[in-house]
Amino acid sequence: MNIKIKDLCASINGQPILKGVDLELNSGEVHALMGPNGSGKSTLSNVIIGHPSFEVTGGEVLVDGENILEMEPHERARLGLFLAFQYPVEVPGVTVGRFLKRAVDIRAGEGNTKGFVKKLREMMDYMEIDQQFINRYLNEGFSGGEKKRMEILQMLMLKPDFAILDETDSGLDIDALQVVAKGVNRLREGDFGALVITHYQRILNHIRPDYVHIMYQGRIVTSGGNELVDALEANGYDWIRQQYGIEEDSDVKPVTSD
Amino acid sequence: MSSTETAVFSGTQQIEQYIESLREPDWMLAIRRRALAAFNKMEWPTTEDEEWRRSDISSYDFDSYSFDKPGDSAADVLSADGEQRAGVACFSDGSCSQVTLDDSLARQGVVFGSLSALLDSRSGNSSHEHAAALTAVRRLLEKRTADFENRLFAWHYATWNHGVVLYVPRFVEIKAPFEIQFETSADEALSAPQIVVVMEQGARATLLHSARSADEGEVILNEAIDVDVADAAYFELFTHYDLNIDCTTFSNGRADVAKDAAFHSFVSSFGSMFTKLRFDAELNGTGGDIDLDGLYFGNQDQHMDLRTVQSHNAYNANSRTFYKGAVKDEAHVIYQGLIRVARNASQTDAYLTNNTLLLNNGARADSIPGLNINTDDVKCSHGSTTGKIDPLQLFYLQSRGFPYDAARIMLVQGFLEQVLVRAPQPVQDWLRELVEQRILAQYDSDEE
Repeated sequence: MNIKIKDLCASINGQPILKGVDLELNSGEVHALMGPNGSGKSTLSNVIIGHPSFEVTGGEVLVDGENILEMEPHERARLGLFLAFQYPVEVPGVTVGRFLKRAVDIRAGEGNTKGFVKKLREMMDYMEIDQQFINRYLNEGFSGGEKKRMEILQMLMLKPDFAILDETDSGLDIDALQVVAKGVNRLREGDFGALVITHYQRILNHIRPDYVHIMYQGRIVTSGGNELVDALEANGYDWIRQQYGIEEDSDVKPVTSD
Repeated sequence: MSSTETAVFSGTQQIEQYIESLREPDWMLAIRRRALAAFNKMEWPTTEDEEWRRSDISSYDFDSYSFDKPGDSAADVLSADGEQRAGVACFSDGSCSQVTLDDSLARQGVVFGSLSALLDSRSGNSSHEHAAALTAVRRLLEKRTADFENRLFAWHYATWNHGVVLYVPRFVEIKAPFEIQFETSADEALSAPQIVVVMEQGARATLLHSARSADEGEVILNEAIDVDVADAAYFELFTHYDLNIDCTTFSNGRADVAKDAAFHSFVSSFGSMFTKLRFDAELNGTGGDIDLDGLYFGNQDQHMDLRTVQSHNAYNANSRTFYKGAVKDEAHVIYQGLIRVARNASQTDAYLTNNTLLLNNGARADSIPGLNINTDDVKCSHGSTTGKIDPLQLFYLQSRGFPYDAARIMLVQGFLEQVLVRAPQPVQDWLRELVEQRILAQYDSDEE
């Protein structure tokens, strides 16, 4: 799968967030997208999947040459896109088991989901999620870490071609982080790509990216390899601003030092 | 059952004639006559009455309904789940078409079957159980009819024309549920079933009850359910209303719950153009416990008015009400819930919750919880929500590949599932399937 993001602009409630994002992603590659809070990382992931609250004001997102911005979210999922949400919603009354069975039915086509339960149990073991969660209502009453693992479990069950992980690492202790990373790395063995969004380098010690992009005030300001992660680690985000001559922008929250 | 083709059942003379034709014990006939006298004195409820403020019955011509005549409806027993039943009673158009009762229960003194048969003075049944049941039924019905709250109530007790009795003696515990079915295929008919349940001290039982109709035919169902749960007894009642869209459903239920006793009611309301259900649960003894659950689904231009009353008349009792439903098209659902706490009922723990999902712009829901608390040292609360499907939940499911409709259906099912899991175990899957069918049918018809 090839994803080309061209001059993408988007806003929420009339407030511009993305101001011309250019990015090319392929399955088989793992990209890291870093940037301070408020730089537009989450907006980018939500716009790619089709979140109804965001308005696309310009540019395009091409998946294998086809512009997906007019597609319904489920059609984008069908192409093989997946978003592990930063804040997964609770869905009371819908059990994890029932939800995943239907989702896998839809993805694989009914009748092609033989061995679903066995697979689900195996993946839950792998993600160190208690089997009891099969009968729990989706995300309801889950801790932050349980929600994040549940996102990765869904990813393992749905096997997307390309996944975006929106700050899946935030709020996780080191054990949970390792489990989440393990989940991503498991898919990585195949023809799978991911965009790992984070503002810490921590998760990138466990999921080594092939490419690193830095986002600032709604644009990708630079791209490179792991050396960028090290530079950020050493110098913080202020360094990016000085390096690329970016002025403080009134509609962006001040950068907190991480 | 004696009824004539031309019988009209809100005319005094006709009701009098009907009463005179019955071979019931004098005390029952006396109840009917008192009910008729009250009926004659009262007016039909109007929207001036607080309870009926949103449910207008002024356009009904009650005189045009006669008793249901024998039809050919065949009861489709819920026990399709293949599980065991302690007893089954089926009524088609007011006549009893089937009664079974587990032999071992009969030997333990359990009485279950047609109420008319129990009361028939010609039956000559002089068994001990029969006498015990008769005494208990008499005590309960006389208490219940000490006064008549409104004209429908009085109409019911004067005219009830078929019904079921369940009598469970002391400390008899019955695991398998009883099941009763009221089916009707009549037209322009009044169906007035009476259910009487007496749970003696320490008894345990579950009763599944459904009232349904053929696809066509205009029926007024005017039902009463009278329940007495003695000390330390447990009774679980499932009631399901699913009559066709030309029908009207009135049901008045009441349960007296004694010391350390527990009562659980689950109401499932689907059918009828006009529905007015009321259930009053009275906690009369310390340590009593009641759960009133309800699931409803309204569509087309259905009108459903559901009322619950949790009455705390004793110290340290608990009650919970949880009503949840979805409304579509032009349907209008009214839920009125009252927690009443008497002066002597300190240490009460009571709450009620009502949540309604509006599936489109034309659908309406009014939620009217009320508290009437006359003492200190109580824990009472209520909460109600009325809203649409959460767009963020919808997006979440869509992002996992669920098309728009499939996502909505799953969310509606999930919403209802939260109350559905409180239904008696033997009907859960059946009810789940029914909910799915109805919701799916809604979406299919949208596409046409």
